[in-house]
Amino acid sequence: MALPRVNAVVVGSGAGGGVVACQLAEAGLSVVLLERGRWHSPFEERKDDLVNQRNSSLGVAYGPDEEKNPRVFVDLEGRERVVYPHQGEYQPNAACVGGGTFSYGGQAWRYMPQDFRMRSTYGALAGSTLDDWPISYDELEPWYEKAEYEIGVSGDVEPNVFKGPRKKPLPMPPMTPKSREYEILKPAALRLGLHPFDTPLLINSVPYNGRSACMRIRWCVGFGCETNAKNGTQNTVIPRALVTGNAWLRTECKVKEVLVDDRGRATGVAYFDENDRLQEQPADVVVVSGGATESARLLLLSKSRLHPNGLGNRHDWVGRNLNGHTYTGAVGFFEQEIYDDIGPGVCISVCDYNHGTPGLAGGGMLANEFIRLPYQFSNDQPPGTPSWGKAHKDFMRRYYRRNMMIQGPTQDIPTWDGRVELDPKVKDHWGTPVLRISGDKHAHTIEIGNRQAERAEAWLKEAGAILTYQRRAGRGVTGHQHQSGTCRMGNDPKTSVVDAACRIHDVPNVFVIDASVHVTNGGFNPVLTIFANAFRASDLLVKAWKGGGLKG
Amino acid sequence: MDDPYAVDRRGFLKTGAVAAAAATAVACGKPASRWRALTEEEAKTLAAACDQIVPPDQDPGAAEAGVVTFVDRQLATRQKKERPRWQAGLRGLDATARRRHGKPFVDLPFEVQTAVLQDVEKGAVDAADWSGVEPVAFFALLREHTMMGFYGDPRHGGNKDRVSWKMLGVPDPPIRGRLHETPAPRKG
Repeated sequence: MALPRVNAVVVGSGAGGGVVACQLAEAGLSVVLLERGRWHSPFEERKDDLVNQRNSSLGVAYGPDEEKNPRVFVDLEGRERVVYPHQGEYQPNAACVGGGTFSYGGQAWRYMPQDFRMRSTYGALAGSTLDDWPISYDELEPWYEKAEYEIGVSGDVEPNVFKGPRKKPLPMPPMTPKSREYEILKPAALRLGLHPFDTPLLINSVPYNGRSACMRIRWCVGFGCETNAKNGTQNTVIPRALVTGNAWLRTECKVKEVLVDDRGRATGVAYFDENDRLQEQPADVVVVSGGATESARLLLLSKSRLHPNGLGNRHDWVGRNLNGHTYTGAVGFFEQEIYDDIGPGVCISVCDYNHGTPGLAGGGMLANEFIRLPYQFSNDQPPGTPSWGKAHKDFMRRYYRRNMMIQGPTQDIPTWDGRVELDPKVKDHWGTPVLRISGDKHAHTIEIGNRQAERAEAWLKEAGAILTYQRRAGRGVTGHQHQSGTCRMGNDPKTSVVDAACRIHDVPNVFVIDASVHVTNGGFNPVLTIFANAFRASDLLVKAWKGGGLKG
Repeated sequence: MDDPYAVDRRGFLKTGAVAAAAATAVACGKPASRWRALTEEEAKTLAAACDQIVPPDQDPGAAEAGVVTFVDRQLATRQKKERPRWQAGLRGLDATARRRHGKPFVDLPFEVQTAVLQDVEKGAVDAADWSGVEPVAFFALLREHTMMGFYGDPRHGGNKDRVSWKMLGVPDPPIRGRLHETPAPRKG
C-alpha cells in the first residue's frame, strides 16, 4: 500500500543525501530521507580497535549488516567469490545515518582546478575513460565555501600555494597543541622546498555550530566521535532538515527499486522497512545518494519498459569507471620517540605533487597518517623482516612509539572495465541481486602511485628516519570509502549518466547526487567535493522545482 | 578494582558454572572442555603455536596474554565460519610434528616448534598431513588471530590486563582526551 505522497524522496543519508534532504526541506519541499542503516549515538561509541570502519578484522561497527549484504568479487584471474562487508574486496562504506561521515577521518579537501579538467590537461590516455567534468572549479567554489562553513572545517590552507582561488579562509583555526610529528615534518618539508600546511579537517578545533572542540584522542578515523566534535551530515544538515518540519528520516529502510511509469518518469520508490515489509513511497522527485556502488546498483535494479537495462543505462555507463583511490606512501622509523598520543594524527600536508610532474598524468596530496593503534602497527614491519617471533616482538617494542607514516590518495585514472554490475546468481537478505565487482587499475595509476611512495619516503628521510620503506601500489580496482565514478556527470548522454545538474539524462525527475557522478576523483579525499556538489545540485533542483518543471 | 574490563568474580563463576552445565548436557559424551569452541587438546596446541608468534620473554607471550581465550571466543561467535579451517590447521600442525619428530607439537622443544612453523608458513610440509586448509593459509590465520588477540582490545578475550599496551607504552587509560598533560597514575 502506498504511503502519502511527498515532493522528494532521498535515498541515503551520507555526504550527498544528507545535504540534499536539508536543502530541499529548507526550501519548503516535503522530503522523505531513507537510510538503510541505524542512527547511532556518538555518545555510545565503544572504541573497539578490531570492530570499526578503519580496521574491521572482526567486523564493521556501523554497517552494512555482515550477513544480509553479501557481494561478489571477481579477482584478476577471473575467479569469483562471495565477500562480506568486513573484507576489503567488498569495497565497504558505512551504512548508517551520516553514511561514511559519521566515522570518517574527515579530511576536507577542495579539488584543484586541474582536477576538473584532467583530459584537457593530460590528453586522452589509452585504455582509460579519462575526461573533463562538465563543471569547473570556479563553478563549485562558492559551494565549497558553503560546505566548509555549514558542515565545519578547521585547518590552515593559506600556505598551500597550489590551491584554487578562494574568497574566505577556513572557519576554524588548526588544532593546538601541534603534535611532535608536525614539529618534525614541517621543517623537513621546508628544507625539501615543499609547501607544507595544516591539513583541513571536518573536526572542530574550537567550539563550533553548538558542539564542542576535539579532545585529541587516538581513536578517530573509523570511529564515531563521543564528544561530537567530528562533523558529518548526522550532526549538521540532517538535524537541520528535521527541524524544518518538512522532512522525515526513516532508518533501516532498504530501497528495492525506483518506480517508473509508462511515460518513463519516476513515481517514487519501493523499499523494505525495518520489519522487512515492502513499502511504496510515492514522490515527485527521486534523489539517489547511496554512494557509488549502491547508487549504481539501484539504477541497475530499476528496470522498466522504457528503461529495460535500468535507469540511465541506455549506453551501458552505469556502474562503469568505478574508482576510489590508490593509497601509497612510506613508513619511517626513528631513533627518538615520536608518539605523543595527540590525535587525530593527520595534521600536515603538501600539494606540491598533485600536478605538474612531467610524464605523469596527475599525482596526489601527501599527509602524515592518523594514529595507528597497536594491532594495525603489527602489520607495518618493513618487507623482508620477520613478521612473527621474538624479532617481531622486538620490532614492536622498539618502533611503536618511534615511527611515522606519510601517505596519500593517488588520483586514479578511470577505466571502462573497473565496474560494478548486478550478479546473476547471488541475492541479498531481501532477495535482490547483489553487486559484482571487477576490474583492474590503469597501469599509469600504478606508476603515479609508486612515484608518490618515493616522495613520501624522501620526506621521511629528510625528517631523520633511520630506516624507511615504501608502501607501493598494488593491482586491482579501487572503491572503498572513496568510491566514485559509476554514474558519471557529463554533457553528452552517450558518454555519461547524469547531466551537469546531476539529473539522469533521459529521466526528468531522477537525480544522482553523491560521488557516483565524479568524472575523476582528484588526488584528495573526496568528501568535501561531495558536500559541495550536493549543495550546488540541490540549489539547481530547487530552482527547477520552483520553475514547475519537476512536478509530476 | 578500577579496571573497566574486570569481571565480577562471583558473577563470572556463576556464568561459568551455568555454561559448563549446559555444555555437559548437550555434549553427549564429548570430553568436557572449558573452551567454547576448542577441545582441550586443540587449546594446548594453539597455546604453543601462538607463543611462537609472540613468544614470552621479559614481557608476557601470547598464551599468557589470553590469545587462546580470544581465538576460542571468536570461533564460538563472530568467526564461526573459520572454525573448520582452524581445527583442520591445528590437526595438520600436530600431524606434521608427529611425522617429523614422533611427538605432538606441544611436546617439541621451542626451537623445533619454530622450525616446524617456519615450514608451515612456506608450505614446505607433507601434503598428506593437511586437509581442509592449506598450510600457508592456516599460518596466516594463526598469525593474524594471534596479533589481534595480543595487540587488540581486551574486551575480545585477549591482551589480558592490557599487557601488550603496557609493553608498548601506549598511554593508559585508553581514552584520556584532554587529560593528556596530567595522566592519572595507575597501578601495575
